[in-house]
Amino acid sequence: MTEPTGQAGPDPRTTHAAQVAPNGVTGRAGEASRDAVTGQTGQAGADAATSPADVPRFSVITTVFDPEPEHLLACIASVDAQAADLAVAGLGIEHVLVDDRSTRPEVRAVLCAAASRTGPVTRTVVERNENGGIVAASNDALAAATGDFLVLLDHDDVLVDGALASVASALAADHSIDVVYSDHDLMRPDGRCAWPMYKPDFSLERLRHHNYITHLVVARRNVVTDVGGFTPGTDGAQDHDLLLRLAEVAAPFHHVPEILLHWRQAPNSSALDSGNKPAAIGAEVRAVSAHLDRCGIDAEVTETGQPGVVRTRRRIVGRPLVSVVIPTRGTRGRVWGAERIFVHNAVASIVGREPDIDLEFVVVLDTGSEPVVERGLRRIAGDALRIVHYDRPFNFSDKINEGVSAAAGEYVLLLNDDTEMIGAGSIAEMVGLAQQADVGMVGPKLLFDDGTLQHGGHLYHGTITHSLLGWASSHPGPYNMANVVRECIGATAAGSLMRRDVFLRVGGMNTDFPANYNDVDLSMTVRHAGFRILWTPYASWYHFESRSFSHPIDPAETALIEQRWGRDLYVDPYSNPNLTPGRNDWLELPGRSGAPPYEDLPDGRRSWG
Amino acid sequence: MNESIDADEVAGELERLRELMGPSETSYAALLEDRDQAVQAAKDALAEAGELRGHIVDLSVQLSRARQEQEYQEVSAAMTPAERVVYRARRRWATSATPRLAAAVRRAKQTLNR
Repeated sequence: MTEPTGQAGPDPRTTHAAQVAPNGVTGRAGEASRDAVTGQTGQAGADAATSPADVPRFSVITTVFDPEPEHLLACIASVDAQAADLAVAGLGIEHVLVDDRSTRPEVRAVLCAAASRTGPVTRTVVERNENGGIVAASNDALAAATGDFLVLLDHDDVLVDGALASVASALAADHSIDVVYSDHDLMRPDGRCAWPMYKPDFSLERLRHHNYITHLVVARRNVVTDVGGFTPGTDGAQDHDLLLRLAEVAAPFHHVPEILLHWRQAPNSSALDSGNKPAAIGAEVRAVSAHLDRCGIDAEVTETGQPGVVRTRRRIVGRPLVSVVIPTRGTRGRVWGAERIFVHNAVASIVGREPDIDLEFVVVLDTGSEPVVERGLRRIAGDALRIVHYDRPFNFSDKINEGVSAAAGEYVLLLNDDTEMIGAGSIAEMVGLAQQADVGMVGPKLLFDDGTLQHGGHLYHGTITHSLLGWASSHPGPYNMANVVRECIGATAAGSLMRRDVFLRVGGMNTDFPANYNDVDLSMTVRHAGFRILWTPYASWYHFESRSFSHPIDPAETALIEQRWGRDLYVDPYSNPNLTPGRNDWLELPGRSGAPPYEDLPDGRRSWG
Repeated sequence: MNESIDADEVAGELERLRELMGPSETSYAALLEDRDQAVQAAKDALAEAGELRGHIVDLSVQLSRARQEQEYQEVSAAMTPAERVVYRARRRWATSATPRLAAAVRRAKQTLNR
């Protein structure tokens, strides 16, 4: 067998029994057995003693159960290679391998050889008495680890050379960091690396809907211990559960936007097929549900049919009044072949379809609009209608501000008149999210009249645009991003919901932007005030954009928004620096994709992973 | 009813509306139904076109990716080892170090703002 990464093979002269601990390790007792079984010379301890105090010491923890031996060898070799990196030479690294009673003698031989080898990496091999599953084995590994930071590494995955050096430099730059994660790619069965997963910076809401982080995760050991380690009963979703627990005490996590790990697509791995572990789906639901309980968030968590993706439905506290603020001049237009007065349809599509909240419609109507507009609105909305007559020159921001001033609701939904609500309960979905004190704004999924995506959250990566503009609405998007509630840098004023107090606290909309970028400015203001902005695919509207009103972008508005926000405007934490600036389709920069990015789906369509 | 309205005028208006909609209210309801069905048909047709547009967007991304990969491979093949090292270092600086610094500055600003 050719050694894939230069790792020495098992030494046939040593016996397995002599190298591994006789019993499973639990609690601190594992540390004592570690030294006894590895026969190491205490190198890591020496490193810890001689290294500067601010240099972290890593414990790579790997649970092992019947991997392909060459995959395990590659995994072990990749850890050894970390120490060879000059930048890491001064760091302490230990590798804790817990054999969960592998049945393959070749695997035990590999572990045996690994335990006997001396080198810069202190290696601990723990053998469990019985197969207990990944959670039990991971907790044994946690108990045996002694480093400052845990590095979670699956038995067939491979750390990129210099991976821990990158993590170490991030940790050295900011001592408050407790959890670091990186981008990763997939290692195909043919050994080629492909499908880079370029992730956003920490996105709590997204983490509550799927484990977008997966690998590589490095976490401060005492924090992991404090949250109770890996939770029994979460097998298959144990990493997601741990990340959610860590998020409760150590958010935000630090993101290193570099590929630091190759996730192997082994035949039974969820890297190859996320439906490979059906039991994990139920575990995901339970993990997210328990997390929300701990956070005091009253929500229902359900499966979505997409492996690894769950849906959370926040239950609304009380029965809040939502003011739907619609600026209009009563424009007519043809949609799907029939003429309509836009604002009539916008209101009619909502009336009677929001059973969990109370509604009022605050229509800011230009003076001089046709009488039929107001008459029709009264017929459609009845007592829930408030008309604010507007007689100044057009200024969208000012009209919105006027409407909010007249609104009585605890929440305000800023809504364009050229819209039509698709999903019943869309406003309630947004209210559920906006109830959280740190959420300042919630944006919906907006579709053009042909069903393609108009708004998937704002994206300010080199330009101001909407994520996934023009994609089919049924497309899950890269890494399921169109299927989950997630943070984004901004949301459109064509249909965003805010708590009224947040709107007033940030000063409302900036009237210096009469037509364009007012929502960008509002989003930036909301985020700089410390609030999160969320986007949800479970609230959806048609937006017949530019059918009702067309206003070209004034270069002065572009100059003004750039002047107001400077460089911050184009640093989107929910994009990734490895993606091409100026685009909204998650296209990687040259030289990053590694392989054809699409896979064929059973329905004949193609998708990113 | 407002007595100032002339009964003949009302009857005339009724007749005019009947001519527009047909002989009865039933035919008016049928007309509305026809219109709704036509709108639905138009909506479905547009949605199908939208699916196709979505596929075109997918394919455009894939094509862009293939093109830039090809260009990158050509440029990469022409690089000397030293140039490759410099290229990778610059890439790492641009994608990792710079955003990290920017994020630190942003955090500091937010802290100051509070």
